[in-house]
This record gives sequence, structure tokens and C-alpha cells, in this order.
Amino acid sequence: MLHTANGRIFGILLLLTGFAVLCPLYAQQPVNPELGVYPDDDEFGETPEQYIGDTVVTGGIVQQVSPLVIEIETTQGPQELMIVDTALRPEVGDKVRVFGILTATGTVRSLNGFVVPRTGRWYAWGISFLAGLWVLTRLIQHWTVDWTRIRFQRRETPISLRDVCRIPTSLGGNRDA
Amino acid sequence: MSVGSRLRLEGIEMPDLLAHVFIAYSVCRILSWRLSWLTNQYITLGMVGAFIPDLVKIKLVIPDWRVEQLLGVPFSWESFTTGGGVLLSTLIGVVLLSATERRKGGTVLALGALTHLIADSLLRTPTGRSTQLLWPITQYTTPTPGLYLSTQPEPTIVTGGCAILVWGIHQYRVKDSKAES
Repeated sequence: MLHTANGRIFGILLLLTGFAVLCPLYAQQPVNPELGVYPDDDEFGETPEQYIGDTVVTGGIVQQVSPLVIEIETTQGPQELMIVDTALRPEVGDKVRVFGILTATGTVRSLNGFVVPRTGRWYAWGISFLAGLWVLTRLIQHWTVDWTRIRFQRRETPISLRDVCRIPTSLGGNRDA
Repeated sequence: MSVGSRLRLEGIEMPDLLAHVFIAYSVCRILSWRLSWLTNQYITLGMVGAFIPDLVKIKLVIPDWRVEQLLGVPFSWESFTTGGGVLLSTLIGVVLLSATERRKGGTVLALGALTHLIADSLLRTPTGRSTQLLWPITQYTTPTPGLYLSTQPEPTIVTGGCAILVWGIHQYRVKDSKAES
């Protein structure tokens, strides 16, 4: 059944339906600190009074360093949150991630946390982009797409880097049965 | 206590993709010394598998809140980083393979994704917990030793060094086997 283009489309739609169930299900997970699931920005940002005194997890970009204020993203839009009792010394624009106690609306007492410098974020994105290019190149060298049946086929003989630059021919399809 | 909104866990920060690709390459290449069918083509699929949990990055293009506005229900892309999400993503990859490649291809795709999840399980997080490997069966979030941050270059340097070493050993083995024959 999954050998034809229609069969594959059906199979993929079925699996995407699985995601259509999983994504909302994940978003509605009950808070369960015993299993490591803590309320985050959305929960305590929306109904803070419900979580005052509870341990929460949060993170955001630093807006102000003294006192430490970060901007968190919630379903209701960005909100400012003050972090107190912390030894973190970030700069404006850095990202901080904190685990702590919500002591009042808009205030978290830090129990644990760390700073992610702005430069580190750019590093991660840049190097990840390179990884994507590398793997994409290898994929074109080693596999080919059969568009008529919507499937990937292994090339018996990998193509060279020079041939990779000729992508239209390298995606030819049925050459490697 | 049920909450009706997105719940962000610790999988957001992860070692950069290059480190994941190095790990997948090294593991697949070492296995290829024992498994003759594990050729370069399948090793590439293993490296592709290392990208699977990072499909969550789709949220940077279409944020959760926008989908929530559109659908009117709570929504989180973070399910892509869980065991259940990774399984579904891997199965999509399996369906897209030609029938004769599914068993071997699916195995290496899953292996690549698994190495990614394991590496993410070692990340530093504020709560000391990292990934939900068995969700949606259980909410259990694995404890993490907190070895590194995603934004540190050290994991990439170490895994890159290992990958180069493995590649070098492989070249030596290939040369050696050619000399013998």
C-alpha cells in the first residue's frame, strides 16, 4: 500500500494527523513537578495567582540588569519578569534561563539558572547552518528522489561534488532502481 | 491540575547541529566496521536522522502562539523533541524511502535521532531535567548531568575530533583491506 505515490501521501497524512494530536496534547500536559514538568511562562504569565509559591521554569532576553528583568513570551504576548536572589551577571541582550519560585506576579526568586550569551546563540545558528549544508550535500550525493512515486532511492554509485552542483540532473529519479 | 497552554520544557537548548551530525557519523561509521551493509549512503541517512528532533525549529518560522490563534487550541511544536514525536517523524522518513530501503534506512534514521536525543539528555538545564524520551506514554523527564550548553563550542570541538579520528581509522582500515586483497 505504501509503495505507490498515493499510498505514500496517505501514509504521510496519517502520520501528520498523529502530530495534529500530539502537539495540542503536549501543550496541555498537566504540571507535574515530580516528573520534571514545571509551569512555565505561559502558565504563570496567564494566571500568576494560581502559581504563587510554586516552582516555575522561565527564560528570556535580558532587558535590564539591575534589577534583573527579562522579557518572557506568553500566549498573551511578551511580558516583563523580574529575577531576584540571583548571582547571574548577564548583559542586556543575553538570554537567561531560570528555575525558581514565583513569589509574586512578575517576580521569580531564582534557585538555579544560567546565562546564554548573545554571541553563543549566533555561534550555534551559524555552525548548525554549516551542518545542514554538509548533510544536504551528502544526501544529494548518495540518494536520489523519484518524484513520480515520491520516494528516496539509494544511488548505487554516489555522484561527485561537481555533479551535486547540477541539482536538476542529480534529482533525476529512476536512474538507480 | 491541568493547564491549557503551551508547556516549554528543557529541550529548547541543544548542542548545535554540527555536534549532532558528528556524533551520528561516528556511531554509524564504527558500526559499519561490523555491518557490511552500512555503506556511505546509509551513514548519510544516519546523519539525516540526527536532524529529526530539531524539526522543532519550525517554531521559529511559525510560533506556537500563531498556530494557537489559527486553530483556537493550545499548541506546542515541542512535541517534536519527545520520544513520540521523534518516532512519528522517523516513520515519515521511512514512508518516503523506497520499499527495499525501509528496513535498513529506517534503522539508521532512528539511530541518528536516538544519538541526538541522548546528547540532548546531557544538556545543562535550570531544572536538572532534560528530555521526555517516553512521552506520551509518561511525562517522566530524564535527569541531566548538565555537561554543557548548546551555545558552547566545546561539544562540537570534542565530537568533531572524535569524528576525524573515526574517519582516519576507517581510511586506514580501507587501505589495509585493499593491501591484503
